[in-house]
Order: sequence, then C-alpha cells, then structure tokens
Amino acid sequence: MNALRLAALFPGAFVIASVPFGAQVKVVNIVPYAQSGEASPDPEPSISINPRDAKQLVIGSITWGEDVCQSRKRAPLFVSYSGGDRWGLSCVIPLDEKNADAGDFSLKFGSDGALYMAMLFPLTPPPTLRVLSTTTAIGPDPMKTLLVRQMFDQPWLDVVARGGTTRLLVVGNDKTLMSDNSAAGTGVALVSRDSAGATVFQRTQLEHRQLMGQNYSVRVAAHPDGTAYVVFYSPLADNPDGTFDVTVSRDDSAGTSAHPFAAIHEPALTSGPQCSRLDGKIGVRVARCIHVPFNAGLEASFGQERRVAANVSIAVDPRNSRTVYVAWADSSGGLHYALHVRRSTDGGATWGKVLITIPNATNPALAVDSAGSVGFLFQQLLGLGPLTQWNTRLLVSDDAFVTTRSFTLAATPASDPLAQITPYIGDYDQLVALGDTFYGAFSASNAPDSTHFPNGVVFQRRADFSSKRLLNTGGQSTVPISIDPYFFRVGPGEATECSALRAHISVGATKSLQEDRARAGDIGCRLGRDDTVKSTKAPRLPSKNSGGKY
Amino acid sequence: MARSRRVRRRRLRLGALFLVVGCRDRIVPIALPGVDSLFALDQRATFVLGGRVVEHNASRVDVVPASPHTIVVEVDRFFKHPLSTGERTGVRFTTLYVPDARPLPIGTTVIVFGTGWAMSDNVAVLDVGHFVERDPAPRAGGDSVPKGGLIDRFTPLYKEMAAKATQFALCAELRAASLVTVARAASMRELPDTMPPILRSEHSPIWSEAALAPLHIVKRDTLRSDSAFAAKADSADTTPIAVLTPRNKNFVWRHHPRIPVDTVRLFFLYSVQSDTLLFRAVDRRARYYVRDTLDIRPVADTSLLQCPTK
Repeated sequence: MNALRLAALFPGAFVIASVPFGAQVKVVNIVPYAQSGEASPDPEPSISINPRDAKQLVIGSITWGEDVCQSRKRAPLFVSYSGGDRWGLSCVIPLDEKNADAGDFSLKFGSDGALYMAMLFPLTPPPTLRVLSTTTAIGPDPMKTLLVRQMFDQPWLDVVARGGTTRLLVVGNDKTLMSDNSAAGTGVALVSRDSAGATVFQRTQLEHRQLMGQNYSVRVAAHPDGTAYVVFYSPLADNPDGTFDVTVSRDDSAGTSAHPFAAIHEPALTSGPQCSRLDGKIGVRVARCIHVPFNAGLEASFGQERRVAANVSIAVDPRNSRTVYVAWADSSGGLHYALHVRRSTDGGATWGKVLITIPNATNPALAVDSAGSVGFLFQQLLGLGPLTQWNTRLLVSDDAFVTTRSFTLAATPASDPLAQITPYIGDYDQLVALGDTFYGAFSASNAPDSTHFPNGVVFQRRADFSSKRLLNTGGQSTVPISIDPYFFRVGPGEATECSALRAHISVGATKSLQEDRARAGDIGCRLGRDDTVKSTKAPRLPSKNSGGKY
Repeated sequence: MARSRRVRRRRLRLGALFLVVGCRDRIVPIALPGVDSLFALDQRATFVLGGRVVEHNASRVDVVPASPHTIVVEVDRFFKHPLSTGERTGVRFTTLYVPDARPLPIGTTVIVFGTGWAMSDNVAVLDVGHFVERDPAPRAGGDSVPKGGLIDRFTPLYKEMAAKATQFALCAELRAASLVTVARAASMRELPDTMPPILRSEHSPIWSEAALAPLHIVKRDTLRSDSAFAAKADSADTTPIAVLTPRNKNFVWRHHPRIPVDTVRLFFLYSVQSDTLLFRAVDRRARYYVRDTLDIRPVADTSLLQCPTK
C-alpha cells in the first residue's frame, strides 16, 4: 500500500516534513494518530525486529497506557507491520496491580518468530523482573509470563536458538545478592531451559571479583553460533561518584556451559600501577578506574537527563563471533559523560585502542550489520544555554571508525519541554541490525519543527509543521510538546540526495561549502577524502548544525 | 495519559467547610435500574461508545488484522474515552473484538464497554460488555442511529452513573486509606538520603517530611459515622501529623502529590511500614505517607458521601 493510498484512507493520519525524496533514512514519530492528544513523556525505548519477517517490529518505552489499555491491567507496546513505516499501539503487556508502573523494557524476537520481553513491574521497591513472551505482538491476548523475580533492576534480554530450543539470556542487577553492607557483585545472567514443558531459569553470577557495590547496568549480546557476551560496570568503591571498571565476559554455549560466562580470563600481572594490574580472574576489564556518577535527579546542565550507571552497550559481528564491540560512558575531565568504543577480535580476550570518543553524550547503542559495518547510536548534548540540543546521531563505519558516515536523526531542544519526570529522554536507546540495514529507537522532543530533523521525519500524530504545533485528534486545540519515541531505519550506502549535493558542490554552485558539508554529514554522504567524517579522540567544535562533526 | 487521574481529581472538588460523611451498610439505592451494573462495567472499561455495527470480519486499525472476531462500529458518540486520545471529533469507526460476532449483526445499534486493545489511526477495543438493539426501522442510507433509540435512552442513564462513579471512587479511597484528614500543610523539610549506597536505585523515592495541621479528621482507623463537621480546629485532633511525601521526579512517583506549604487539602494517608524497602533507613518521625490528596474549595457547599462500610 503506498503512501498516497494510505493518506487517502486515513486523512490526516501522517504528516511528512521535508523528507528527502528516495532517502535511505527514515525517521518516524511513532505515537499514533488516534493518540494525538497524548502529552506525557515516553522516554527510554527499546526495539526489536522479527528475523522471520522484517516488516514486523516492536518498540517498548515508558508509555503511560493505563488509561488507554485496560485500566491499570495492561500496558502498551508500539507495533509495526510495515517495516517501521507505520506504527500502532498494542495493549499486550500484562499488569496485575493497581497504582504501579512498568518500565525498563528490553525486547527481542527469537528466530522462532516469538517476541520475548524482560521488564520491571512494579518499579517501586522491591522492583520485580518479569519475563514475558507472545507469538502475536498485536494480541489481543496478553503476553504470557515466563518468570517473576523480585529485587531485580536494569534487565536486558537476548535470545539465541541452541540445540533446537530457544534460549533466553536475561541479565541485570540482582539485588537479592546485596545487603546494607555488602554486595559481592550483583550482575547476573538468567538462562532459560525447558524442563518438563515449563521454562525455567538458571542464575549465574557474573562478577568474579571482590568488589563493593552494585554492578548496575548489565548488557548481553548473543551470536547465532551460541557465543554470548556480557558487559557490566564493576564498582571499585560505592559512592555517588563511584570508581568502576567495565568488564566483559563470554560464554560459548549460549550461557549453558558447565561454568557459564567464564570463557575469558585476564592474565596475571601484579606489578605496575593499581589500575593497570591484571589479576588472572574471570572477566576481562575493558576500561579501568573510570568515574561513573549516580545522580538520579535531573541535571539541568546535562539537558535535564540523569546519570545512573546505565550506559553500556555490546554488539557482536554476525560474520565472526570473535569480533565484538563495547561502548561505555564515564565522567572524566569535567564532562558530564563521555562515550567510548573499543573492539576485540579474539573473543574479548584482548581489546584494541579506544576507537572513538564522543564527549557530553549518553545512551550509547551498538550494532553490527551483515557486512560487518558497525553502527553507533548516541545522544549528544550540543550548544549552549537555551540553544542546547539533544543531537541524536548514528555513526556507521566500515573500518572500525577510521572513517564514518554520520546521520543526524534528530537535533531537538534539550530545555524544552521542561522535564515532568526523570528520566527525560531515558537511560538508554537501542540499535539493531538486520541484513544491511540498521533499525533503532530513541526518545526526543516532539516539537513539530522540520529543522530538528535533517533527514526528514514522519509524524503519525496530528501536527502542523507550518505553525510548529501539535494538535489533538480533532485538530481544534494545541497539545503541549513532550518527549516521544522515534523509530529510524538507515539503509546501506548513501541517501539519494547525496549525488545531487555532490554535483552541486562539484560545479561550484555552492554558496557555503561549510553548510553543504554539514548537510552532507547530516545525511551520511561521502563527499571525498577531505569531507569524509573521521574519527577522533579529541572532540572538534560542532558546526552550525553539527552534522558529521564531533 | 497519566493526566487523567489528576484531572479527575481536580474535578472532584469537595466543600471544605461543611463536609458530610455518612456510613451505610450498602450503597444507596439508585433511582434508575441498571446503574450499579453500569458502574461495574464502567470500572472495567476505558472506552464507552454508542454506534451502529457496519462491518463484520473487518478492521479499521491498520495494525489489527481482520478476523471473524473483529467487527467495525460506526460511532455516534463516545461516552468515555482516554484523555490522551483527545476528543473524538472526526473519529467515525471503532474496531471491536468480540468472542462471538453473531449477536451483533450488521445494522444493529450497540452500546459498547471496551478496553483499549490497539490503536493507530482509529482505535480497536476489546469488548467487556455491550447492549444491543435492533433498529426497528432502518433508514435509507442507514448511516445514522435512530432518534430516541438505545443511545438516546442510554445517555441520561450513563450520566447518572458517572455522577455516582466519582462518589464510589472516593468512598473506595476513603476505605483504603489509614487516615484521612482535612489539613493544612504547615511545614516541609527535606529528609537526608540515608539509603545505604548499596541499596541505591533510580526508582527509589527521595522523601520529604511534611507537618500537617489537621482541621478535621475524616477517618482514623474507621470512618467517622457522625454527621457534619466544620473546618474548624477539632480539639481532639489538632496534633500535627508528620507525613512522608516523595520529592524526586522519578516517573514511578508521579502519582504521588506534591504539597505546597500552607495549602489546605483533603489528605489520604497510608501507614508507613518500616520493614519495607520504601522506608528502610529513612530518618523520620512520620507514621504515614501521602498517597493522594484532593483539592477543596474554600466555599461552604456540602457534599454528601454515603459510603458502604465494606
């Protein structure tokens, strides 16, 4: 069904703002038309694409669906059956208590086509992990509950087929392992297996060092051959500006080895500075003695966002399970957060130099496509004062960040709307790859301003881009701007607009080469050696619209 | 979406000076038959609408596949819908999931109580109850419901039910709370965050402690069964009440009210359970925390609350 026919069938159903014709980049505000009156913040999205049907995607975010779905008995997911072009809400997340909220969603389709999900419900202490599944994301039946476990935080999920069955790898912060005075590492993996027709989970503690404090964020990435990696913060001292290592462990049998996630050790090197010594223990430390603050309140100077040790990401190359990338955030040198990426090509045993550093940014998310190109999604705070923007960008690199293509997906105000809640844009976003295409989800301001979206945007909810107003369903009244979830899709190669831009420059028709190059950076064009965005550890000053610059 | 509850609360304003609370063994009989049943249905529904069945095995929500269980209702009017969907002007069709579509033949007029199922351009709802009436005289064109039919007769009944519903909801809240008081927030102090770092979570509350100066106690353990009371100090009940209220902006705590000093409200207080994670390691005097408040008008109107005791 083409866009014109859809528009005829559903008048007003979607508004297209300055979409470059034929562009390989698609950005969609996924709040549906019938939800146009919605004004609540919807931060922290996660996304999955069905490997058996690339048209089917789901996005979960903190979405206050209690008045849309069965009152306080269900919460919604965003679903698409059109490859992400169009989105709807589906009330399939079961809730079973009053006055409680769900959040911390992590979603993944299995190779069996079923959708699996880890989430917290309720979030109020004691936060409770629930692992759910469904074969029909649209319902109407609610998702089936596979596991309920109290005192769990920051869950994350991956799914891998192994031995003819689907293994769920749920990782997170198991608070039953801590008391007021001790925590011998709270990062765990819960690995599923079938037992007499039921799904049961076996817990493995991931931290093998005697540390003080929670592991906070844990992330997992599995390869179809059964190789599974985890990355987590390892606390060296538990205080608000805690000192952490970032640790990676591996399992070669989808978490079912005799000693799960114990495949890599550090060598022993007991001399040298404390933060350079190696202890011979399970788990390789990718970053040492970094500072990671825990500040759950909104920070005006950090775009109203918070920092709660939730910003690590890991991705494995689908062509070679020994190639793995890690990203993490830390606070150093007066920056709120700086993001760093490293790569290992030997299964996590050793790690190369830092490939790229992004200052003043959060929500790192990595994925590797079928050609081995790595995608790096993040949200960077740029500008000063009221002009500060959350700049959501995807970098794609074919050569481990020697060169990158940069796609500015959104450049939205960081001070407007005012935060109603924390988190503001969320403690994470997510990037996945299927074939040669990257798919992702992030949250940002929903102000309908085409200048915020250099690659164009589709609003499903009712919006008037000329007056920069959101409208309710009937179109009679203005709806306050808020934080919405966005979907994006970035295909291989360049946007078709690039060739025109290249020709424009080559014939000397440009008025401002700097602006043209910035535009090229925004939409991921390769303009030649000098214009290709290069990675750097030292941040450059951003240009006017920051495209392609750090 | 979250605004709905708050807005409803704002609408549910009570007279401050003369608030009358009565206890009965049962809900006062309603004048029109069916209001109790309607209320029970309404509690389960997020959408209530009236319209006409126009299609079977069909869907007007593009993410919802048509099936023998999905029918399309052309909507004449919405009686209830989520705030976040805005007013429904211009939204003509709702897709309805029913276990069995046969009792809802095309052309029948229907009142649907539904919960949200899916939405994109239109909404799809799951049927939790409906009333059906065959149109005795279908009109040419057949695109509107009959005057004086089921929907017109249902409208005043629903209005009556809705008026009762706010009272029922308030009664439920009165029953659930440990202490209910009309009070003035006299002072507020921020409690230090003494949670051991090891227990730290972004979902945990950061508490403040307010001192409430009670003007009247509506409920302490049991609902008062006496009649009227005034917003003057009650000598037996003037001891300040220390209460906890979260001050952080974490979205988990968005339903919990913020209390500006010197405001007078009806406070619904719940007992602090010291052994739970919520209150562990909180250096406090408070025995209660604030779960909800209602704004009250500084006028002398009287509200009669007749709450069942069970």
